Amino acid sequence: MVGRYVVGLMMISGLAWEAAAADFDASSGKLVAQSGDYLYRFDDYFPTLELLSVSGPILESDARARFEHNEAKAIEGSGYVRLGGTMAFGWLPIVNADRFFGRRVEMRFWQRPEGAQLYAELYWAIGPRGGEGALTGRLLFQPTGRATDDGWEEWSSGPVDFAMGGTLNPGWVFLDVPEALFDSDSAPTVLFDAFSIQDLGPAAVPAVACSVLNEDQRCGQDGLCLLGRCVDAAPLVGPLPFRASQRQYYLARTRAQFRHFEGGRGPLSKLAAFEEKLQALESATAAKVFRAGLEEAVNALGDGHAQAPGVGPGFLFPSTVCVELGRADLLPGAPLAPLITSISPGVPWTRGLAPGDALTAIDGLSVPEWRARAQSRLAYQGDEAGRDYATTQALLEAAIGSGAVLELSRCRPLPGEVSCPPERVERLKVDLGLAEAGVWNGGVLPWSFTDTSGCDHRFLSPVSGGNRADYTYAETEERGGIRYLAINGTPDDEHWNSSVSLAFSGTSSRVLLDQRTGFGGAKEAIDLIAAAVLAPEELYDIVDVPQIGVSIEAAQAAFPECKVKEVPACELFDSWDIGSSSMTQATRGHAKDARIAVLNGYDVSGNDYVARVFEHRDPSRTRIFGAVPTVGAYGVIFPLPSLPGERARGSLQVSDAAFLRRPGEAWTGFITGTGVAPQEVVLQLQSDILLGVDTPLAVAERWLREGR
Amino acid sequence: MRSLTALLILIAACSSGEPTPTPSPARKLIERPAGGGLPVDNAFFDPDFDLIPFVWWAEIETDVGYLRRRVDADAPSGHPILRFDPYKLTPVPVEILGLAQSIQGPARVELWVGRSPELPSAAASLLGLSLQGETRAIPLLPEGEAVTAQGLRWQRVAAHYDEPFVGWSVLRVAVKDGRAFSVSRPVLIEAVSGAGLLPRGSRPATAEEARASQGYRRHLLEEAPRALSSIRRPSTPVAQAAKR
Repeated sequence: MVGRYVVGLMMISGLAWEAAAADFDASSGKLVAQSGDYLYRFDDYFPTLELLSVSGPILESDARARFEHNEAKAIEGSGYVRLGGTMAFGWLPIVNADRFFGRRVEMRFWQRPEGAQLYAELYWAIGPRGGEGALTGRLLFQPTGRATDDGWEEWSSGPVDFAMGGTLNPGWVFLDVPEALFDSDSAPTVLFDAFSIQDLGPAAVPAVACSVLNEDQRCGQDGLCLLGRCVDAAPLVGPLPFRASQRQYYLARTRAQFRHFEGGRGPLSKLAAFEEKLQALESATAAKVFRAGLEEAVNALGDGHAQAPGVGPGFLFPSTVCVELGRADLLPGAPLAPLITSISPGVPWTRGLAPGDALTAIDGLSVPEWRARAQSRLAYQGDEAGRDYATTQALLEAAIGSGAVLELSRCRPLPGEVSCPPERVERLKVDLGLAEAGVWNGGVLPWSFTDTSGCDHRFLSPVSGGNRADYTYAETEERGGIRYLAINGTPDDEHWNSSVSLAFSGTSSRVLLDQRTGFGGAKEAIDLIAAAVLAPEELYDIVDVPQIGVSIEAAQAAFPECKVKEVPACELFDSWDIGSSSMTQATRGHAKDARIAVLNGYDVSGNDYVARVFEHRDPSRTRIFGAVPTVGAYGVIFPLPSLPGERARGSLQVSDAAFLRRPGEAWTGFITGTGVAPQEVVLQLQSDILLGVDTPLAVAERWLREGR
Repeated sequence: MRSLTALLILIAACSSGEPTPTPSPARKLIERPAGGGLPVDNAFFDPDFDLIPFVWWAEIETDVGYLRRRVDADAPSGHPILRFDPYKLTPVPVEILGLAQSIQGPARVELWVGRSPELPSAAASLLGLSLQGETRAIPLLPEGEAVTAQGLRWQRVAAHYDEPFVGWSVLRVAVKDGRAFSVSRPVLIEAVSGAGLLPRGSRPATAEEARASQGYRRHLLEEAPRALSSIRRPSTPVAQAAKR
């Protein structure tokens, strides 16, 4: 019988996965295990494989019934597991695998779709399995291209270091059947068999200390620095499509998706450069190069709605400390710096820090220098002028995640001083890598993933009540002759509508709109604000136009009545007359004569529209304050469909918007990629933090009251 | 309860073990092309039906039926399937609608449609907007032999055309009897000129087609968010599961 085995003699570096063909025996049509293979066969009931229905745990008898015997059908051995139906999820523990410690491995399984498809993720965790408090590495399995003529197909993790950071073994493979249903055993199913682990040789990434500055040298092409230790990058950033043909398809299809459907005219003008960047990734051989390149290509489009697919957990670490890019006016030279605005209580590493402290160095480099080195960790899409401001919080989180050394500068001016001389600046040093390193030896993190301050771009909210961390946050109150309204987006939400209507229908002639955090939303919400604050002659209509394949002039000639709803001509575009919805009738024009101050911060999509609405008002009664322009994403966002081997979707903007002052006006002014700039640039001051003053808020209030 | 070590099969001396039962006939190993062989330049937004009920949509009353994505090893198209299943046998018109970007110049559109053999065929057409502001239809007609699989008769339908449609096109597949039907592998690509296939002309859309096209476009724009926050990346598998 030995002759029927084709032993893995082709296991050479870089081609290891191709050698997998050796385990299929052509004469029997089965996979055949070798001596010493690590293999889950599923020939018998295996309670360690935890199966869950959509609604939770299941009876043992139900689980047993999922292990089916059918020697002819099984790809290996005499049985397999039938997942799907009402069985939506499974956890397959990786046990008795110590021999892979310090090794590079590849995990594979086979599935046969019978209505459903199985997705699998290898899962490393510090903390409770699957809990929100866990640090996770996740690696999505991909199809290898190997299949059988009766419908089995092979999926693989691709090459990966078994132990993260040299000490943390993968805990589980999470199994997910999206087509599973709540209540029907006739729902689609999928067969699962022959889960195996192959040893590919020594680990590729050395388990050594590192920082963002030296990770390329210390961690190698496959490694990244996490919590001060080199780890395999793939479980963080997502896998490399390891098959060359798969990689080419993935990149070509991504190019085609944007070429066909990107709607922002600015981003469309950058498509050639985008396509070149993607093409260059065809030769990528490392996950971190591939994923960073993909992210960079998408970011360079300037489409604030575009996101590369998030196939790994990335670099999101908890906001235990909130920072805002502001002016450190108490320090010599008054530099721009991330300023601490709040701190979560009880987090050990933050002891000794205080609001007003300025982050002035990371890993011994100035913040701008470190930022440049960490750019691949700081995803941002939209108007370039807003990048540094928008990614300041992410910058700190990236530093926390990499185990960086932070240096903060503190000044407590003496009476009569406006700032500190150099010798009186107190330097505080926090070595996060030192504090976090224990986790690689079984210790605990000096913070938890559940620690979060719910950071936004306000040092203080001008209103009380509500939850500032909520997307639907909308609170209003009147104080000192000013009506305040604070929002975090433009959602379709009853409380939001009520607060906004109240804010603009009141008797106050002075209104302050604080949208320093604005994640966008529904056009009805934009319209509610626009209808209240604009006179009819200031803005008439907003038209969202996708790619049309012909000139704007030709399209406008063909569809002149597009402003009228419910007629065929409106099929091409989305268009709405300002104040046309029934919701706006009560507030139409109520605040058109009011003096209105707008505070912008990170504003995207629906909040970009709101910002542009205020640009159409008379500047003598309107002032837009902010640190930087808004994102500049004026259009409709579509999620991108998942490509093979990918689950978390990317997105893109499929239209661009023309703002029209009167009927018949030409559809021009498509400016996606360029945000609404502040009419008055204002940054949070370090000195104001010590005084408990929100600088932009105070400046806007002064303008409302005094006209300056 | 059996121990973990007993249940984790570390194969020992397998090379001298029992003969492996042989499927009859023995299955063969094949290579599956990346993307399942779909053209990368396919102008359909979501040819593998990932985005239900957003991009793929059926304007049906809630008690009529539902759309479901299926992946079947023996699908004749070799690709995922979008299937309409009725809750009950109500003889009402049902249509599946999907999004494509229009192609300027000669184009080919194709699709697999599956139905029970005893039921009438589903009607498929590609709907586009002319530069005169009119909705026009390209009917998809049978091409090649039908194939029977999963108890369904699968027929590829296709058309070649050369119409300067403006903006997005809409695929419509419709039945009048309210019974189950499936579609798979929608493809819209530039046609190779001189391929020996004559362009077929378009016709004005029927009232049903025009209404479907308008309703679908409105659905897309009304359902599409203007918010990044609505497309959160799932944080953990369990969080993903909880959102489903």
